[in-house]
Amino acid sequence: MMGVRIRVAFLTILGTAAGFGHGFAQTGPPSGSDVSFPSIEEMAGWAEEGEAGVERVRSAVLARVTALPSERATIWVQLLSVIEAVDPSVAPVAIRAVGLGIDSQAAAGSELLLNALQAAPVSDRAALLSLAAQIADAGDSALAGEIRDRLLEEHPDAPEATEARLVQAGWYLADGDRPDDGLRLLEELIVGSPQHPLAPEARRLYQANGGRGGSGPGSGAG
Amino acid sequence: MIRQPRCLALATWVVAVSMWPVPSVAAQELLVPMDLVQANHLKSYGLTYWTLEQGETVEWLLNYRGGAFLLPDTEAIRREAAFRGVTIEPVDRARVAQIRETIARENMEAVPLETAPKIAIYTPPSTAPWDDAVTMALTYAEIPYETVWDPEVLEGELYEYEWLHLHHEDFTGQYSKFYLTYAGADWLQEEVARNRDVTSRFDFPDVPTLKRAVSEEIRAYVESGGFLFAMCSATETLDLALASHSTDISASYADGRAPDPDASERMDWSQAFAFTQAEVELRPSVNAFSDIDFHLVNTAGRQPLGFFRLFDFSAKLDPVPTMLVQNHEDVLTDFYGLTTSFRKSRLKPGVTVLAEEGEWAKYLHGSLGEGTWTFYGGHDPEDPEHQIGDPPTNLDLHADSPGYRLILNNVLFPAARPRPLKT
Repeated sequence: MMGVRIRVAFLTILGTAAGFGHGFAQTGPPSGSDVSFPSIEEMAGWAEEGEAGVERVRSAVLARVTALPSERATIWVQLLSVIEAVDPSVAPVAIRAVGLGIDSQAAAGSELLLNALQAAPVSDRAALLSLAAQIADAGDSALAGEIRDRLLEEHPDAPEATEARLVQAGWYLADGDRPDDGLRLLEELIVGSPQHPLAPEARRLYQANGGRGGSGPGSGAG
Repeated sequence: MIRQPRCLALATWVVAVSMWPVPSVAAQELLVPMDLVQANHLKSYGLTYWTLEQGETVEWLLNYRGGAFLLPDTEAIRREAAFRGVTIEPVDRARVAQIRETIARENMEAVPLETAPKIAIYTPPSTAPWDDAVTMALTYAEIPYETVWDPEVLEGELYEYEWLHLHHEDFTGQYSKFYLTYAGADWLQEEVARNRDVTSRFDFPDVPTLKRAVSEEIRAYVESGGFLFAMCSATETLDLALASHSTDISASYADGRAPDPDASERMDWSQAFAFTQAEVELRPSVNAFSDIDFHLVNTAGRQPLGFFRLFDFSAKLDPVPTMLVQNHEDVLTDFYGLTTSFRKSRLKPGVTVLAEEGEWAKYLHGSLGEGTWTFYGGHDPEDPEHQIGDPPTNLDLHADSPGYRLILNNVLFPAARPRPLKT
C-alpha cells in the first residue's frame, strides 16, 4: 500500500514538473495496439462482486500499468491506490469515474465521484476527493482546485491531504494570483510533515517562490 | 590599536566545560542525530547556529550518534528544523537521562554551546573564477557571515569577529603562481589590479609586502584570541609569508626583484603557525609554493588522490580535537587543492594531526597565544579535481558530505568557548 502511495506522489511530481495536474487526458484511452486493458465496464462489474472482484481489477491493472509511459500510468496507479484503500462498495464508481476521465470526460468523471461521496464511508472520502481532483485536472483545472480545496478543508489530516497541499500550492503559485495561499499550503506541509517524501519538493518550491526570503539555495547569507 | 585578549585561555575553557552543570531538563528536548539517520547534516549545523542566535543553549554530544546536538524543544526550533529539512527526534526526560548515562560511560562528552560566533570570510570583492568551500558551506547551512579583505584586515576590523576563514588566497603575493600560466586572462588581470590598488592605497612597496603585513595582522588576531580556519593554499602561503619576513621568496613578476636564492635557509619558522624547515619553491613557472604540500597538483610531481582517515580522540580529555573530527564517516575521499596535504616532516612539534593519509596530514589543529587555528588541505571536498572556472558544487546534492562537515565543525567550535572577558 505505502509503496503505491509513494509512487503516486512521485508520478504526481513528474506531472507537476510539466505543469500542475494534467496527468492523462492528452494521452487518450489505454486501448489499441500498445496496452490492452479490460473495458471499464468489465472491471466495474468485477468490482461490484466485492473484494474478490476488486482484487481481480487490481491484478488486471497491475499486469498492464507498468507497460504504460508514466504520464498515462499515473491515473491507473491512482486508481489502484484508491481501490485498495476504500470500502469495496465504492470501487465500482471509482473505476467508472476513471473511465470517463480517460474518455476525455473529466468533468463527468469527477462529478460521478462527488455524487458518490455522501454514500461513501467518511474514512473513504478524502481518497475519493483526491481521485476526483486528479480526474478533473485533465479537463478543468479550476474544478480540480475547488475539489482539492474541499479535500483540505474537510479532511486536513487525511493522508491524501499532504499531496493535495503540494499540488494545490503549485497551482496557486503557477497561476500567480494566490501566491500567499500557495506559500501557506507549502508551509503547512513542511512544518506538519517534515519527513514526508514530498517535503523536499515543498521546500524547494517554497524557497523558489520567495518563502523565507529565499530565491533558491545559496541565498540568505553574506 | 589596543589588542587585548578576548577569550579565556583554552585550558581555562576546558575546565569550565568540565564544570558545566547539567541543564535543568525541560519536559522534552530535541535531539538532532548526526549519524546516517540525519536527512541533512550540513543544515543541522545551521539549525544549531540559529538556535544559539536565539539566545538558547545547545549541547554538542561528541561521539554520540555522529556528534548529535541537543536543542531545547520549542515550536520555533521545530519549525526551523522542518524548513531546513533537518531530522529531529523529540526526547523526553527519561531518554535524555539515558543518553547522559551513555555519554558518561563511553568515549563521549556533552559540550555546551552558548554563543553564535561572529564569522568573517577573508575574500576579495570579486572572487571569480574561484569559489570557496567555506562560503558555500555557510551559505547552504544558512549561517550568516561577513566578508573582509586586505583593507579591513589592515584597519583592524578582524577583532570584531570570533572566527576568520581563509581559503585559496596566496599570501606570498604571487597570485597563486598563475601569473605566467594564465597571463592575459581577464580574471588574473583584475586580481593583479585589485591587489596593486590596495598596495598603493596603504603605501606598501609591492604586493608581497602587503600580503606579509596582512598575514602578520592575522597572526596577531589569533594570538589575541581569534579562531582561524584556513583551507587550500591559504594554509601553506600564510606560513610562508610569516616565515619570510626577512627574506624575499616572491617571483620577480610580483615585486620586481629576483627572490633570494638562499631564501629557504633564511626563513624564520618561529613566526609560522604549523610548518617548519620547508624548501621554498622559487621557480616562477612551477605552480607550487614549497615542499609542504605532498600532492603538488599542478606540477610534474603530482601525486594521486587517496583517502584520509580522521583520528579518534578522547572526548573527555581532548574535547577540542574531538569536536573538530565529529562525523558520520571516518574515512573520507581526498580532494585536490593548490595545497592538498601537508608533509608530516614539515610540521612543527605540538601540531595536532586531526586526519592523515599515510605519510602526509590533511587536517591540522594548533593554538597560538590565546587563539587557535585549523588547517584543512584541498579546495572542495565534493569536487576532488576542481578546475578553475568549474561551476560551484551544488550542496543540495551533498547535504550529507562528510568533508564539508569538517568545515562546519570548525564554525561551531568557537561557540563552545566562553564569552569574551570585558577587560
